[in-house]
Amino acid sequence: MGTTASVISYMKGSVPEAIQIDGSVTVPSVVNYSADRPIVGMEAIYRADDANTIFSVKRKMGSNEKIFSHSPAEISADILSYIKLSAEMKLGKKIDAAVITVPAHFSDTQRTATKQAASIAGIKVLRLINEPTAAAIAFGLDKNKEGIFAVYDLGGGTFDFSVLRLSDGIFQVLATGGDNNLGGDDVDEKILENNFEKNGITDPTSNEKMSGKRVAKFLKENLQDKDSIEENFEIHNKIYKFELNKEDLEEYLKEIFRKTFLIFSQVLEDAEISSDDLDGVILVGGMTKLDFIKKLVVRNFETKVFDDISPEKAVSFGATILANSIVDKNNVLLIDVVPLTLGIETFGGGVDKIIHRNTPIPITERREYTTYQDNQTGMKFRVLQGERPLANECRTLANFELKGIPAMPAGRARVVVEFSIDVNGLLDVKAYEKTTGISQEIIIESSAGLSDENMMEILEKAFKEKENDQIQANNIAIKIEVERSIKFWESIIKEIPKKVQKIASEKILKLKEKLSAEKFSEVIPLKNELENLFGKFLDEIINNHLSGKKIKDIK
Amino acid sequence: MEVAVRDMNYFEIFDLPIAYNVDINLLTKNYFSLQRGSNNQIDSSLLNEAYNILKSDIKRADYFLNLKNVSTEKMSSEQAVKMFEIREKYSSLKNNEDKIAFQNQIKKRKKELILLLKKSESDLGNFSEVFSELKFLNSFLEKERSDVYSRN
Repeated sequence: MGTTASVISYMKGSVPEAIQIDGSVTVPSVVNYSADRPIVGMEAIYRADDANTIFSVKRKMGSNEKIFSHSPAEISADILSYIKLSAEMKLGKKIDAAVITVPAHFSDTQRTATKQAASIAGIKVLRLINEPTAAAIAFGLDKNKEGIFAVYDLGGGTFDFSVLRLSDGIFQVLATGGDNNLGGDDVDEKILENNFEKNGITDPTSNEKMSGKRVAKFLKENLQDKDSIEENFEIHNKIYKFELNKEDLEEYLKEIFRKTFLIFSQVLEDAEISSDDLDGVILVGGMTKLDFIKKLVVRNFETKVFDDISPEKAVSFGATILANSIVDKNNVLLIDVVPLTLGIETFGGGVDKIIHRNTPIPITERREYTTYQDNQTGMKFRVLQGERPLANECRTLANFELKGIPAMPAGRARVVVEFSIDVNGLLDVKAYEKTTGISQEIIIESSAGLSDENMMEILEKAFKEKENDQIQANNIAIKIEVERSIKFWESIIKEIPKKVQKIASEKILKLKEKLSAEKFSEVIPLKNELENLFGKFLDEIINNHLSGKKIKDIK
Repeated sequence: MEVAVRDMNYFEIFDLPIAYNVDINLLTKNYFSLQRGSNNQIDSSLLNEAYNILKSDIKRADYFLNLKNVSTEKMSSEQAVKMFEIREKYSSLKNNEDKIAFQNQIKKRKKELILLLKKSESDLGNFSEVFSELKFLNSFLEKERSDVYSRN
């Protein structure tokens, strides 16, 4: 589940393989809500000029924000459902469970939201795995490497840096760190600002910003070794020139690298190693494809830099290998760590750190507290996550109260608070009074994400939609999905090369017949064929569509 | 068996002698093989807790002193003054470069103290004195480093 795109893989024999959806192994993490059902992926991008399109929902995971009345978990669930169903059609098998990847420094709330998204989509979560760890697993098994490696994962929206020890099927994370809001999007933003300013465009609408950002991204990815590059940008039938030169881009990239430097120096220190101890740095994430970033990393680490694994695929492959090892109970041993310190607010607004970052998981830690007033019968706790010394500067995960402490003098009660983190990095908190053995159910008021009640409601709704018979339900879902695809293909068929238009329209006709006859065994292969056929042209069609040009006008 | 494990100290869990100086490679090797054991007699989170403490030079010192019933809270008045001076000096620094340079100095001192610890295991009085300075410097650095993470 990437910020900009997602990948799904499965175990084919003993090697992971990515599944092509809409002609590509990367499915854009984009959802459009203009129709009665959510539209996901390439088609959603095609409709990106529509106001109901959501990009990069991953950045909002765990927040209370509603986007077009959907919570981030629900939007992610729509992406997952689409990927799941599309993959099922490709494999001809039902998908029950999966390992889902999350950024290493995702907070507890963000992890919970991700898990919720999966259960809404009807996927059992075998494990949540940190993305850099997954990349290292794929790398380690593929290259058969042993030693201490770092994963430098710079994507569109997030940065993660992890240090791992790899040996004989053992993947031990030594330390990890990152930033939730650091990545290629920041560079696009800078390019855009600069060009809006140069062209005297003030107060651009959000749509203009969005299409402008696409142009900015295009410039960034296509500058390569040229000194500068230009691209037309159209607003209100007026054409502006957007440009990017090498110097500016390098300045923006240096700025990003500097920020990552602060983080990875810290992580190396936490791992108690220096960069000389590294046997290699594995590059992951779209931004590391840029030569300049690569150069900066190489220059800084002075060790072997591995950039020959496909960054998007590596993370997904690692997850697949882990899924396989969990199901088969084979000999891969994975030891990950807590990404952010967890604690309790102390009297006076400080933080009592209970589980420190980079502690291996699963882990359970206890702390004892006592009452500060005579006959005090309740105690309030605030659960915090983060590295800052003051409670108000950390993220509040939950508030809870232990009630029913028997009346006794101040300082006599012995209240134990127990933090447990499971293998998914999810936190569970318990509290009990020790002298009397009274343990009270604690009330956790979730401070963000979906409450349990909300969750139940959504799940019930999802189950109702699926109704009784699983196969029947699946067929209905397939039918809806295929009908939607047909509609989309028909709307863009004139934009594919003339030669293939005829074949495509014949196939669509045939698919429609099979679909109305409900011959699903024949529907799916036909759908897959068409998907591959259109998939080849989608990128171009979308680019032209969004810049207001049509392919046939050009050719 | 379960009860016996609970009664074991962390050194015993990994089949190591109760001593501050630990062969980290052996510790890690034993940790892996216990984590990997299919009929696990020791809970995975207990193993993690024990390993996490023993692998860290600072946490291991604290744990070791506790096992030896030596308090880690006491500090000589001479030491207390020294700590106070460090804090004062640091807060008087205005620019970032000076702060970082000062931090690096402290980091260097930390490394020296760890080496000293390893040499003074046989003299617990000396050991605990070295440790209390180390503990202070460590928490001092910990407070400063948290700034890097201000944007979580």
